[in-house]
Amino acid sequence: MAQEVLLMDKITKVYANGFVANQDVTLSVNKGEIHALVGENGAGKTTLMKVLFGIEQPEGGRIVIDGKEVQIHNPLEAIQYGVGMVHQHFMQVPSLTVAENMVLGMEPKSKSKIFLDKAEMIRMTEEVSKKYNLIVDPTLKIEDCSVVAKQKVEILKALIRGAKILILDEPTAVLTPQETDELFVELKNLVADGEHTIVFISHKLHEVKALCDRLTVLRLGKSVGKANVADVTEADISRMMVGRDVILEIDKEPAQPKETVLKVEHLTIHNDFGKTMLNDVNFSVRKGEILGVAGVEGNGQMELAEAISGLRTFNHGDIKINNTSIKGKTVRQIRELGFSHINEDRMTYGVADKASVKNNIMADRYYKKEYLTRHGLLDHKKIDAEVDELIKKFLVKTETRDEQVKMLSGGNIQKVVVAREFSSDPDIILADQPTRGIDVGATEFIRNQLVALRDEGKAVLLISADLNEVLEVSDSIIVLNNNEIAAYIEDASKLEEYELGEYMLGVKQMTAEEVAKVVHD
Amino acid sequence: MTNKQIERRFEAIRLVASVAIAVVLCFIIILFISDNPLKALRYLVVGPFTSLNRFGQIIEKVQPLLLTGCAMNLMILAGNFSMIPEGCFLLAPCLTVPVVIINEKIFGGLANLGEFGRIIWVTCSIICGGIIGAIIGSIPSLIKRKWGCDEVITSIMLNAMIVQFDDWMVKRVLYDEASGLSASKPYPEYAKVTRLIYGTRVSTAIFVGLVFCFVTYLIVYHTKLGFEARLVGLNPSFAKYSGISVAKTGLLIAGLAGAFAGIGGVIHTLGYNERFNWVAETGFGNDGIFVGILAKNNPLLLPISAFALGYLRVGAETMGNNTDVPLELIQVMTSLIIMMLAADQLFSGAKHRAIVNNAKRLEAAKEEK
Ligand SMILES: Nc1ncnc2c1ncn2[C@@H]1O[C@H](COP(=O)(O)OP(=O)(O)OP(=O)(O)O)[C@@H](O)[C@H]1O
Ligand SMILES: [Mg+2]
Repeated sequence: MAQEVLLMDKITKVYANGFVANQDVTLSVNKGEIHALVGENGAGKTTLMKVLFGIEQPEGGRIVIDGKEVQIHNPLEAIQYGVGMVHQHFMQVPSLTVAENMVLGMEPKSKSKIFLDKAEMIRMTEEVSKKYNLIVDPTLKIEDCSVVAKQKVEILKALIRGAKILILDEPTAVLTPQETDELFVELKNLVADGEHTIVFISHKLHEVKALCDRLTVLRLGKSVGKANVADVTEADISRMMVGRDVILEIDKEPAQPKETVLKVEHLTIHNDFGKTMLNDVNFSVRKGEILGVAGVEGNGQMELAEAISGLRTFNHGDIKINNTSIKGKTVRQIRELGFSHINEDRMTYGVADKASVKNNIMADRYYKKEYLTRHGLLDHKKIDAEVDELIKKFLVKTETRDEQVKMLSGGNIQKVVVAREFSSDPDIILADQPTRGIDVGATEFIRNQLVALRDEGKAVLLISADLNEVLEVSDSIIVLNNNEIAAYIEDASKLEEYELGEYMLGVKQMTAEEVAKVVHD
Repeated sequence: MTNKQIERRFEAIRLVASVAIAVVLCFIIILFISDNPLKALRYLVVGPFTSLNRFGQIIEKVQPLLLTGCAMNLMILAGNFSMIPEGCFLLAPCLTVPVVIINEKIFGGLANLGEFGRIIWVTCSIICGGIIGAIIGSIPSLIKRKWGCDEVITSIMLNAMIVQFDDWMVKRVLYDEASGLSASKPYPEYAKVTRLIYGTRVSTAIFVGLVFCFVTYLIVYHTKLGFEARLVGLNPSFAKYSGISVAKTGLLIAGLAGAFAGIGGVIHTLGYNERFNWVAETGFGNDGIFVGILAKNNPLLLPISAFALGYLRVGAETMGNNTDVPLELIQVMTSLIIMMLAADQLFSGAKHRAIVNNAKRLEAAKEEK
């Protein structure tokens, strides 16, 4: 008989604005298991975990850890009870190093008891890092770390504080499949000792299948079911979550590409340290097609996206949208050429979290004639009408258009981004990790929207670390490896996942002639 | 009842309660210090309304605060914590106003035009003050853009230099030997802003201030620039990604705020002083921050928050002048009251309970249906 290590009984949480995020939610977790917490965006998963971690105080219910009822008022107390949390959005100080972030609040002091002992910090970091086989460079500043490294730091931060119950809120949302696999091996190792227990939140149901022992489903703030993972299929789980069947397979006609919209010519980009991130890259995207970009993170995807969107300058080569070079153009000028962009970093670039839903949706278009009155002032009536329509069309769950975006759940924040970027009538859309951290229902919605836009004759450039997504949504695929295009697959439907993996890891490589086919006129 | 209504009700309760608490705290302090605490308290609370003169003093304080409040409001919204409005407030009149004093020959003709001459002169000096303010106001932002120095630091340094410049102007250039004061020659009659209430220095400057509050409101909530400024203030990375020029917006807002503060300075001295005699920081720039924050960064509430601060100051002065409560204590008490007013979290627990109960009721009602 498994021993219950954590019981959250009839938890109710009402937010300051009156929103009931959890209502009589019950979660029971056994010692040594990996327990999945699943549910749509806004179902209340993060909220429930915040209650457990002492960030939010519940209005009702009790928490039992190791058979003892406890009151958790703040994260420090949570850590004393052995609860550690890895947040959905990173909680790190960008200007400090990895080691400094790791020991924040428990810094080792030097003998004099005044100065910080940097060497000890680094040693401590290396020690846990080795122990759990999550390798990070302790001396790197967080702001210079890749997303993966940041994710590892988050997990290590919890472990170094002695967490026995580890909450992982969508830890894989930002990882590549290989890294995810690697992480899963580590997580399984971690619970194998029977001491550690993991609560795992993810929208990727195949991960839940691969990793977890049992699961609890939340829907609209209530716990609506639990199951042994072995007894249910992915389809069962999504039905429990959404209340209907979800079809992630996209049913789409073959693409009918027309003229070229985006053309990247001999693009070479060096990063701030002079390292070559993209080396003489050539490709084009045509109207009516979705070109997927696959590749292990750090092979220039980020730089490519930044260059096309005007957030980064480039010295060599050229990028043309509708035959106009974007060199030296401002972000607005590029957008006006018919470009729109879902940024991979939702909270930094995708939204202003303290601004209202309305202002976030209007941010790229408020200055246009149709939103101004005769006197050149903002036409709030018209703006409100349009915003309301978009909220409805893109299924954004929000009380009103004036709600701050930070009050929304992660997935609904992404829907705000999508509502803005898909509705500006672009010729080319750069979708950089468009469904990262988004539930199955919303993922289905966004992917179908991408295909619908393609069918309307728009060009789509899809960058995604989710192999499944690249294979499923794209018409053609390019693979970035070693900062170059390693392969061009004209018909994505003929590609198998393992083959794609081989190109990504550099095991296989196409010839220059084969790759050159990606340039159309 | 909606949550908005609950929130509004608690906001009102909070305001009343924080004033009440502050008054009680003050009373306790006065109790220890004064021989006649009741009298002192009466002067503090009712004092400002006991004579036209004192009431006028409140309005006199409100006049300049409205414009510096607008300036600070704009700055804070755009995420720019520059203190330069104080400098603009000081420098603009120092460069504008003396023109009439020095060149009486040229401008003297305005005197013959009567009211019309006054309107021309005051309008001209508002425009000049605005331009000077705009230039000075944008300097910290320009420096930030060129060399990356923080606006807070450059603006404080600039303010210090401007104070010295004003001092030098007043004592060396504009100095009126005949008067024996460290001040300029008196402003000619046609150059002054019309006084409204006899015996006080309340002038039409108050209307200018009110108009600018409304203008600021329009800018912030109804213009493209205001929209840009708000987004830049909340998340510059996002603003950039959406196509907003962060640097340009910052510069425009700083210029605009500088202009408002400059205009504030010009109109204040023309309505309040007989001669130009500013040789130290006026404090109006920094009070602008307080007034702006108290107004929750809503320009339309600035008149109320400025009035509140003016009332407090006058009450304290009245008490200081008429009782044995030392003047120093006044500063302490004003700060205390200001702190109470800024205490956002007062009653947050009770408010949360009300909202939770409300949510539960709504939930129950939904289920019944
Ligand atoms: N501070 C807050 N104030 C008010 N409402 C909030 C707040 N934080 C979250 N919410 C609301 O509570 C609901 C649940 O949010 P939560 O973050 O727990 O969802 P989630 O299940 O983690 O979703 P996701 O998968 O998108 O991360 C959402 O509808 C959200 O809008
Ligand atoms: Mg969440």
